[in-house]
Amino acid sequence: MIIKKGVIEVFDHRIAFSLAGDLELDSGPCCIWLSGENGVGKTSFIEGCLIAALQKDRIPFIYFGQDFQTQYYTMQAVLAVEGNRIDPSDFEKTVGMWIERGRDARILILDEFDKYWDGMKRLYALTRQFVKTYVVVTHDGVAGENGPGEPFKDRIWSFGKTGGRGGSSVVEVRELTV
Amino acid sequence: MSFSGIRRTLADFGANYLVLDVGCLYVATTLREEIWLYREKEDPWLLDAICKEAGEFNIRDVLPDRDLFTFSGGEQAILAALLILSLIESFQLTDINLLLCGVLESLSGKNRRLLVEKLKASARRGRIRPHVIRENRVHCI
Repeated sequence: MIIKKGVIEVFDHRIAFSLAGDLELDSGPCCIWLSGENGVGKTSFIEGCLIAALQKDRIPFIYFGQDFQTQYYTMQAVLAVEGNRIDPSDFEKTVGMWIERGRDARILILDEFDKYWDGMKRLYALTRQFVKTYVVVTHDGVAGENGPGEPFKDRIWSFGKTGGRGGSSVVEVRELTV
Repeated sequence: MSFSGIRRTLADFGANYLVLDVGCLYVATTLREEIWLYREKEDPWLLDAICKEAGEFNIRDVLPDRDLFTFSGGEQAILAALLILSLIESFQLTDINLLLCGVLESLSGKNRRLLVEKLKASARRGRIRPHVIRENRVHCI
């Protein structure tokens, strides 16, 4: 799946992403790190561009959003309705059950999930058999030993505000060489 | 540290701390309303001070009546921290045990360093004793 080079406006045109080149997902095992300052638009890109493109191409994915606490309560409710026995105090088990439920996913999107779980290595171990692409936002070290390791190739998508245009803020997105 | 670990740690220690938890930073939806809840009156000086300090973190368009949830997660965390520090100064409180939960982890490297400087400066003035949760334990900054 490719998000084509050019300008993408999202959220009623309040933010425009200017892609310096094509951004390719799902081309081989990889871990894509979204890098940029607070407020530059990484989460907006995930929700307005990336997930929209995945849904359009019907590519199954799992998304752990930045406001995970609210999502966690929803996950517990859905799992309980589906007949699972839930222990709200067992975070890893609950997340594990949610992942198991989504084993057809090829993409796993983690927006600052390391804030909630310092067992990222365990998360990668749980998912590497079926996930082909990780998309990760973290402020605690990009690539290398923080990632899932081989065969997942590290890639970095860098975000930087370049200014405004007709009421929108414009954010440049480019893939950096690792 | 896991989400449930944080909950347990806060249950064990939270009563002794002023907790700034990234999962529930605000009661109101605007800075003006949030300040009103604490001060029980309008405080344009405090609003102005927070807006100016936010500029140091490159947070733009910090307006008294802007919906706080239109800021990014990291920006919300920064504004909440600046608000708490300003309120503590404004009330001239001292020796407040401040516990930051998930706040520093939400910040870029540059913003994290800047906020830690401000926390330490407030600590040097005797206003706060800043702490974070790490590995389900409370640690001084």
